[in-house]
Amino acid sequence: MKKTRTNISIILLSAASLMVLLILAMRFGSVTLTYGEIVDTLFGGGSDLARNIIMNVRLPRVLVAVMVGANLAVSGTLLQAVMQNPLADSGLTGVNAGASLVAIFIMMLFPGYTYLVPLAAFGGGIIACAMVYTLAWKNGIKPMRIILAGVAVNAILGSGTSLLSVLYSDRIQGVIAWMNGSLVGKSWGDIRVLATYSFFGLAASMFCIRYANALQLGDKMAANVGVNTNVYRVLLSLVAVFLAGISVAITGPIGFIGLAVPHISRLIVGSDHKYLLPLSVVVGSMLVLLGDTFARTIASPIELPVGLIMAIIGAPFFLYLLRKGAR
Amino acid sequence: MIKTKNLNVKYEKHEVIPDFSFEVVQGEILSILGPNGSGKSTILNAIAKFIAHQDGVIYLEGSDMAKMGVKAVAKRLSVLAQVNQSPEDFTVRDLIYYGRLPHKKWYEQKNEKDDCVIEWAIGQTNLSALADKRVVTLSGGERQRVWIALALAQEPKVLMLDEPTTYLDICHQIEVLELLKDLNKRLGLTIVMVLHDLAHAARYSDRVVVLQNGSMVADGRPEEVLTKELIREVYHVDAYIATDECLGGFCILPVKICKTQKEAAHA
Repeated sequence: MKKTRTNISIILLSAASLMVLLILAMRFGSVTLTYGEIVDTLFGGGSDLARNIIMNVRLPRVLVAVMVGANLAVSGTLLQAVMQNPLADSGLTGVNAGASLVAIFIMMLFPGYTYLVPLAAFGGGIIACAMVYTLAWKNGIKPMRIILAGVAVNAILGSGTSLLSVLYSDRIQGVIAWMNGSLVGKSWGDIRVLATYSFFGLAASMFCIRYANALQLGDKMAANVGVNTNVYRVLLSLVAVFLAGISVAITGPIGFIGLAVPHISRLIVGSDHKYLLPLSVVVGSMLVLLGDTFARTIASPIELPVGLIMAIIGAPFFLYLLRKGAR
Repeated sequence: MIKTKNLNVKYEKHEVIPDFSFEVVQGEILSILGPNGSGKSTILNAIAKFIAHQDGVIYLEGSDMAKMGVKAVAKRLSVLAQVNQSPEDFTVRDLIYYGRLPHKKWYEQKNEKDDCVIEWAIGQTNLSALADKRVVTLSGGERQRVWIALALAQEPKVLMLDEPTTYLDICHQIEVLELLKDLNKRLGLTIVMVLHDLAHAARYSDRVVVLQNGSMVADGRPEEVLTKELIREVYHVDAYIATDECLGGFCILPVKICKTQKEAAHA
């Protein structure tokens, strides 16, 4: 009982800090705003300048960061349960590689159709993932086979991406930012799409809690308590890949979140997905928001890709937590 | 309780169980014996639906298991694998809760009935003092009791265990077997287990089934089945069998490996 209350307080507290972080993140940029201006603008007031900056640039950006962070984190948490492997994240299922190949194909060969990139990238990601799971299926689906099939499919699709980059190296400039994950220039249209799908994806993930918990007891124990491991492995993967797919489609692949957030959250609230999944939502949002704020301010006026920052600041932090957690 | 009819199990093309029929009677303790690779665990895994069988029918309380839902099976039959893993931070009580899953609809949360059953299972397995400890901090014998408690929380009619005493020292081996015997007596729980130790099987089972190369070679009361001849034939071991003065049963002492007829012919 005590543990339940502590965990709920932790989740609520971190959600509150996320709100604070949101305001903070909107303050910094090429023009520094005051907190008063930000709050005024959000409630419909403020100067034209502040209005323009917040409503057209910073608010869309922080909202994308929050949603993408939540999606990637939940996706990773579910996949680590599905694969019974602490190194799993959405990249393993081929979704990033598939989305990247299709997106780069369009951006390099048919730059006029760049507006199709999100939709096509989502499709590419889903097809790649379907390939991985089909190849892994043999009298049911075992984690090790998904992982190995994922490695193989990733290698094939990755070489396709490399081939395109070599053949059209003159056009690679615009593509590099996408490939490293970027939250630049997202419109309210992007946000509407992302918000709608994230809502359904995240809502679906909350129904996965019990099955994710059962799967982490091992296949035999899960089957013993009446959980059909093949069915739920595929269903949980579908939710995870859907969440990762829409995120990659909008921002390009952002690594590390799906891998690290589940571990960070687990160190804080333990491995019961009832607390782990909600906390992953918040921690994922915070991490991407923090990373993106760094990415656009640290080397200003140059903006670094958020994926890059994630790896640079995220990895050492992750190592610190691992050492601290392993008492 | 459980009945298999012409069960056939293949791994790829390798036939492990050609044709296996047997019946588990309500309220008994049945031990499945046989050398390594004789198909003991395979039969257990096939009945548990951990692996698919190619042919034959398995009945649970008279119903064809292939036509029963996994949850319906899990409410009647609990199968403990040889090795089980618990997440690092789960307490004994946390873990035992998962035994309640087959009784829950997808939207149902933990309720009073679950708490009741969990406490009952903890009491049955003498885990009261350990209920709030993390499972990974417990000893092997204590952990095995936790898994048995999880199985009890399913409120099954039949409990199947794959080598429940492996990796345990002699004290904890006996502790687990005594617990199973006790649950069998008090709750009328039918128990089927795969065992390696013939002496344990002799002492704790009502009936033993002996397998060799996937086929049943003996079935009956332990003192009838576990003879010198059978042990030589199945395990290729000469054994010394004597009545056990202190327990009133009999004991089996493996003496030496004996050559099979085939090996003898080669030599």
